[in-house]
Amino acid sequence: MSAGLTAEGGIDITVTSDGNRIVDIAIANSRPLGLPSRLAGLTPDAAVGRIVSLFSVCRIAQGLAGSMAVEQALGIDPGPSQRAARSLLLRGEIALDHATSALLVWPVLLGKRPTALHILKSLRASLADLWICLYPDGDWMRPGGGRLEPDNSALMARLDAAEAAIQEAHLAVPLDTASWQNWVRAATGPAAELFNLLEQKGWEGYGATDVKLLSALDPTALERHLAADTDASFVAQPEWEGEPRETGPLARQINHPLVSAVVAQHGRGLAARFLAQCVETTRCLVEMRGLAHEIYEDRNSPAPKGDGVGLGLVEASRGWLAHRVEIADGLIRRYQILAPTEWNFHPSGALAGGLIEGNPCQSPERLARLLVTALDPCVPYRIEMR
Amino acid sequence: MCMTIPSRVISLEGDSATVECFGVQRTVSTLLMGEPVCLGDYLSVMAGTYAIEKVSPEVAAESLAYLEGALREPQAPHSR
Repeated sequence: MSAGLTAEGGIDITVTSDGNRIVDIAIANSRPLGLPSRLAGLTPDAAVGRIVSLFSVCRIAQGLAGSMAVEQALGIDPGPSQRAARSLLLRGEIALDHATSALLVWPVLLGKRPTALHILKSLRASLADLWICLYPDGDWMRPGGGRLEPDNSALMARLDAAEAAIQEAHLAVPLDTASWQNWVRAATGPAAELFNLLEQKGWEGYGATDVKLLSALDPTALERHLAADTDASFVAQPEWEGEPRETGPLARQINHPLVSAVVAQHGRGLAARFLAQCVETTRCLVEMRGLAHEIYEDRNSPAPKGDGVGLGLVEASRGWLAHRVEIADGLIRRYQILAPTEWNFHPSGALAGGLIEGNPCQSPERLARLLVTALDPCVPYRIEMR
Repeated sequence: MCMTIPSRVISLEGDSATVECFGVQRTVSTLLMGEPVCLGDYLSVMAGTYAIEKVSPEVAAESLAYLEGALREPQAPHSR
């Protein structure tokens, strides 16, 4: 979302043109990336609790990445039911996050005011605190697993309401190519209107870049990178095998037939990235119903004890999110977070590459805003055209 | 990192609230809030624009104390 930059920091993007073409892109990231280091000295439980209260937009992903890092450090296996419950909550957060972008930000890209706030409010009522249906004590983020006592009727009612809201907002994209084309032509709702705009302007492929997708991450290699990152340069500007990478919905959905058909036609540009978010929203809601059948009662675990080093790796809404902890004498000695925005908004990453390679003659600022939104930073951003 | 800093409501007008955090004031929409907003409440604000939930005064105080120290620390440069 484009807004004034505040204490949370943000992304400053400066696009320099010589009048005919873009000649330089500068991306300055002022997010306080050193924040997790201040968790040192807390107990693992307290550190994860602090993470959850600080990162309320992607609370589930952050809380679970922290919890999983602690579990790996202490050799704890939460078991299949806790894992299924966590996957369900994560998918709920991803669906809500994509829908929030589609309903709040995409209309602005179309030159309109967001008008479906009542639907988004209803969707938030269904998904924002979905853990209540699984963890009555609210301890879903507890390392080792909280007290899991699923209320299946309440859970299904929430999922029904979420699906209804997604339908009402016209965000339920058909998952086959022919139906999808008809859905776009009907142009009902911000998602179809956005795809229409891209088609009319010939912008479907804008923002495609040679930056490779980060579809898989080797946890052992990532742990090594983070362990050696004493100056926080890796968490600020991560690279994989010596190159910046793109993470997020497109990397996850690239093999879906509809997404791969759009990529084959237009490349990995705006249409593919926005479509991947729509497809993922629909798939998350379907997958949540399946996961609900894998969840059964599970008592909460005792407070974790011990020392060790662990990595928690989750697929958050915007891409890979990694937490790494070092625990000594029962307290956090070192805490690191590597977030997806740092991959995608790397100075030579997907945004920079897409802007340079796209190099529009007309509407450069609008296209830049479209591409930033397609890559979806989790903080405010500002674009300056020079 | 999708950090949200608890912001205190200092005035209300219709579906908007003026909130303050670390001396910075901004106007945010309260249309997504699931409960009534009152003066003095602490709110989580999404991407600087929309308030999404209330934060208890105790949690807000803890978070602000933690953040105040962190935000005063010089940040390593990460730009090009």
